[in-house]
Amino acid sequence: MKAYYDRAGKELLFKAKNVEEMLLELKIMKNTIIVVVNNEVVNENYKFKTNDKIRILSVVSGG
Amino acid sequence: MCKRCETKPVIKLISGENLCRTCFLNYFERKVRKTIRVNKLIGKKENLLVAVSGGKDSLSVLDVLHSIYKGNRNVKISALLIDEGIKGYRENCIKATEKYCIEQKLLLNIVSFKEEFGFTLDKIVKGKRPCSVCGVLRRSLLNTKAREFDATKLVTGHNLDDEAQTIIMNQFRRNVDASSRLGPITGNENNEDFVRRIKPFYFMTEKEIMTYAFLKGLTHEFNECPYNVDSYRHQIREMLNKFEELYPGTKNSIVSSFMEILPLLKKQENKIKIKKCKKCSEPSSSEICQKCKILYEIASAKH
Repeated sequence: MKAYYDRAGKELLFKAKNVEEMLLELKIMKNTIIVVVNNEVVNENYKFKTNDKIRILSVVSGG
Repeated sequence: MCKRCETKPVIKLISGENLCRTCFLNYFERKVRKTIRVNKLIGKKENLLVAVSGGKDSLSVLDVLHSIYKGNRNVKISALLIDEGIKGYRENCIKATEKYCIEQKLLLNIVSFKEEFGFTLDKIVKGKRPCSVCGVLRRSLLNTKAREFDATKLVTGHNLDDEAQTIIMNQFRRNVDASSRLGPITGNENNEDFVRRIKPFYFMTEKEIMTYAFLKGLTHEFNECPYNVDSYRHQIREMLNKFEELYPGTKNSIVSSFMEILPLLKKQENKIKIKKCKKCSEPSSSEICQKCKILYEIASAKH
């Protein structure tokens, strides 16, 4: 599957079946991002489905 | 599933609790209300000026306060945005803030470094520490404008992550005086030159705030200041994020333990004599305030 990671500015490929495993696989710390699937925020337990549109948004500082 | 209502969760809190959209938004507002109540941040009659930048923290704090105090005639809320002049970053933030304030019928005041000091941050940043310069000038301008607008309190979107970083930075730099000026409410109530600052998000994490901002549709673009990556704070932030990942609750522990020693530090703060700057008459701990020193440096560099 693939997810768009805003910090990297590109789509990343992964094999994981859920959010928690994806973050481990991509070496992204979970306290620094939120994951949005099909425009809805999901938590670490979310299991991906085919055709899910996944975005990893960095928790930016300031503002 | 959400622990409280068995529907689809959007976040897992540090405590391990999963919450759905509705339960998370309720939890968020309740926690902010508790911070306000326990720390006596807002009285029965107030004229609150919210310092907004258009980012997730300040728009969210404006939104939560607006939601809590809407319909309360004794608590007035307006917003103040400072445009430092950071090309490619600040324009979108201004648009998001203007859109929100128009929709919610809130008064928005915009002031800029260019109008107030005669330069943009982009123009003077070469060879300087942008975050230190910007921080000093912004703080000074916020206080001056808050007084001008007769604000009883100045509200900022500072959060648990910000505060944990500042506490550690002050420790690493052995700056106890600076730590004594921290806390959910700051400023000297006996000195009318200072408008007291309050931080309703003192115990909210950045991740919780970003989730709130996203769920409420406050902003769709989460941009970071381009100068942030060079800063000392940025390095501390990265370090604390790594610790938080390994030991969840680290940031909360830093702030909570700091809160236990804060009363002792406040006694230290009360010993510091506040004077008036000889150049601008603004409150200062030294003869010439930091803002005037920076403006002098910038003017000298031009010649």
